Amino acid sequence: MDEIIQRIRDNFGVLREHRQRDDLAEVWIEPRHVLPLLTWLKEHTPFVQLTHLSAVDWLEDGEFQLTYLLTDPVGRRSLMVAVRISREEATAESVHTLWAHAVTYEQEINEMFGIHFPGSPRQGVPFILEGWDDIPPMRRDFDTVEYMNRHHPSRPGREHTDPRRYIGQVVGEKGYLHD
Amino acid sequence: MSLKYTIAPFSAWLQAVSKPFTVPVTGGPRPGAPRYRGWHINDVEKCIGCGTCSAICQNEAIDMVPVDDPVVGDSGLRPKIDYGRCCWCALCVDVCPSGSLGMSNEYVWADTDADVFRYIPGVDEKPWDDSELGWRREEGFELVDHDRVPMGMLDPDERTQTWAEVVIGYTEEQARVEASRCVDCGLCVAACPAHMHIPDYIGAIRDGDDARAVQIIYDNNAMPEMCGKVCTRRCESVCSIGVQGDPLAIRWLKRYATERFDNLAEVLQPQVERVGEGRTVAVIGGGPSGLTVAYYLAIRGFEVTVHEALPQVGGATFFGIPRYRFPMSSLEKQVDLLKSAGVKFVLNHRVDGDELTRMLAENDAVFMGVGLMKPMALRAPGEDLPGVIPALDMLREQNLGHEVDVGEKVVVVGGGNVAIDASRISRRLGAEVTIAYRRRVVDMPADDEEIEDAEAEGVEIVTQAIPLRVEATEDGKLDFVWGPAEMVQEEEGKRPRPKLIEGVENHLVVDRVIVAIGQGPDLDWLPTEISEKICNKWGYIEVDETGMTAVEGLYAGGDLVNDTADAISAIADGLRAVNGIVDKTRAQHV
Repeated sequence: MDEIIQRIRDNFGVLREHRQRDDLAEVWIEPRHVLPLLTWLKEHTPFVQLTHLSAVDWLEDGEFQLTYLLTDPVGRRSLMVAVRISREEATAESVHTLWAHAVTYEQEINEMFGIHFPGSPRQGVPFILEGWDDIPPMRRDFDTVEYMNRHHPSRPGREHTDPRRYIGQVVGEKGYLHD
Repeated sequence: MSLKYTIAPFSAWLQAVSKPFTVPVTGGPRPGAPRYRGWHINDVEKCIGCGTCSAICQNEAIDMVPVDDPVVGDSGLRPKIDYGRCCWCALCVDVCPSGSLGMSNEYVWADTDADVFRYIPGVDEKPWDDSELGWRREEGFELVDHDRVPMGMLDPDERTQTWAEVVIGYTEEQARVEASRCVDCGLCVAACPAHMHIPDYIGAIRDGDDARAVQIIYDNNAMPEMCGKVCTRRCESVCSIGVQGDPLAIRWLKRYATERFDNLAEVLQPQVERVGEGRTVAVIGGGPSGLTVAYYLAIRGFEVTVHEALPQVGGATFFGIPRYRFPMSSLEKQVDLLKSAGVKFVLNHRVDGDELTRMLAENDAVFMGVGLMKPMALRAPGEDLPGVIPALDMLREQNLGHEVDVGEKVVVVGGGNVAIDASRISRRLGAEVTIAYRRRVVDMPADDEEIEDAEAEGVEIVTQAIPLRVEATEDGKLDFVWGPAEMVQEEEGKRPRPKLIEGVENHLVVDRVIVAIGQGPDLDWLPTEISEKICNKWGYIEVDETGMTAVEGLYAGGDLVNDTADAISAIADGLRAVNGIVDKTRAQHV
């Protein structure tokens, strides 16, 4: 693992790295290195399998993070390759040419986060959200409650009591003197 | 129409006897996985109705509904879940501060009435109420932060060498982190005698708006820097985070906010109606209740004069609390604020009966908060020997800056905060200190942290020790004789009582016996026609819901009136009188 990470450092440049366990490491790289690095890992190292592709919305930073989890099935160890991309452009290179099943991950992320993978075959085809009419739901600026109220209004008869007000009435909490 | 279409529907019937393609369901629905997130369960005894589940729910699926009357520490509300909106994400379970909420692994439930899918787990009985399986929050996985930001303190060895403040106080960063642990449930507000707006000022600290925090704090507490340092903090004992973790450091956060500003008048600038213009109020006793009355009436335009027997106001917070807990600079800052609000002070002046009568005639209202000034006697032979001294006298002398000599060895009798203060002061004066207490450490009325601090500073605590007598020894010392006690439970539900084990005597030879077993009212100076109207049979003063005694225009508060005898209760009494006086003034305007 150490040797492979050193090679990544030398050949692709590592922005940040984290060694979670002996058998699990994480490296952050620049977006332009994703396809070359993953190709090299698949062709020339034991990390041949794409186990997972996930996304995180770093809203405050204006970025999305994509994490490719690669596994060495023989050595039973994993390497996470993480990359931050612009939230505004929200476009990343597809890796379906390396692993055919990446199409499904990319389709799901496209639907849930609105990240586009040009060239990936099923972009824009509903994954589970048929008839979705809002911004992608895993984006953190998606307003769950507003969506729920619009699409699944509460049944009549619901009533919420605020704990502080309720107990306050009994003990005689006064409102603000200054207001 | 061809014959085929006529026969086809009937040919389908043939399928009825052919082997089905589907697999038959046997043994009912498949059970959920052991950690499946199914219908909710709630241990309603454990639940405190804080509403954090409802607050975190991303789908607004949870309502808090009344199932019981609220009590301190329990809102009496319980979560009711609308399964038309629940998405079974289990955030409610993962955040639950009391750990009462869980999910069973049951997921099958059919009904023709959609309204049944809204129920109060634990209250509305369900077949899965006792389910052992299902989703529970994992140990070590908490959405609320259980660990309090630790408070910096002087090293115990260093403390006994100095009168410097022991508690260092939070930095800005520490305060923001600590404040962010609050879940804004508000149970603390009910527990605070003054009902301070705790979650609001904690929220302001969290958001980095310390000035707003101080404004909120001063809304109903004019001595918060004192409370931020020495409050009995009943709020923290009901904090919902405290059920499973460390309660929010409410006291330290208040301290942080008030210490941020040197000139409080500049920050506060209260905008209130000056209903009291042209009216005068006399306050007898410059303790927390009196100062509360003075400040809140002064900002409303009343002309307030505080009469104090000692050379400094503050009451028990001045003469009773050691400076290493509440330094003089903090007290002076509070007094400066009162002065800037226009409060007049008459110091070194003890009001007598005639003057009280005159004050009642000359002022629109008189507030009396003179505290409990008569120390309880040891009630053992030898209690009058020189060297047997009341703790309050010793604390007062110390705080007035007079020379106090406790000798080399001291025994402090009692288990309250005064006893702890007297022992820690004696340590700083260089004495070897033993506390003798009738009951167990758990029974001590003193603050747990104070007890720990005293022990860290080298105070020895002897429990279940009953004073038998004090004798003078030939070499001018005192022989404190005590007998061991056993704890007996006489009545169910009451705290066990210490019972002397006869025939055993222990001796402790000391220079001083400091008695800290409480104090009582000292109201002999009151004119009889007033005292017989306002005092009860124990010599305490009774007031109505406006804080007024049976004598028109005479209000009272503080230790003389309430049964908890702490500063925050005195402040609450003061606020009650303020409301009473303001309401009455408004009524007179109409």
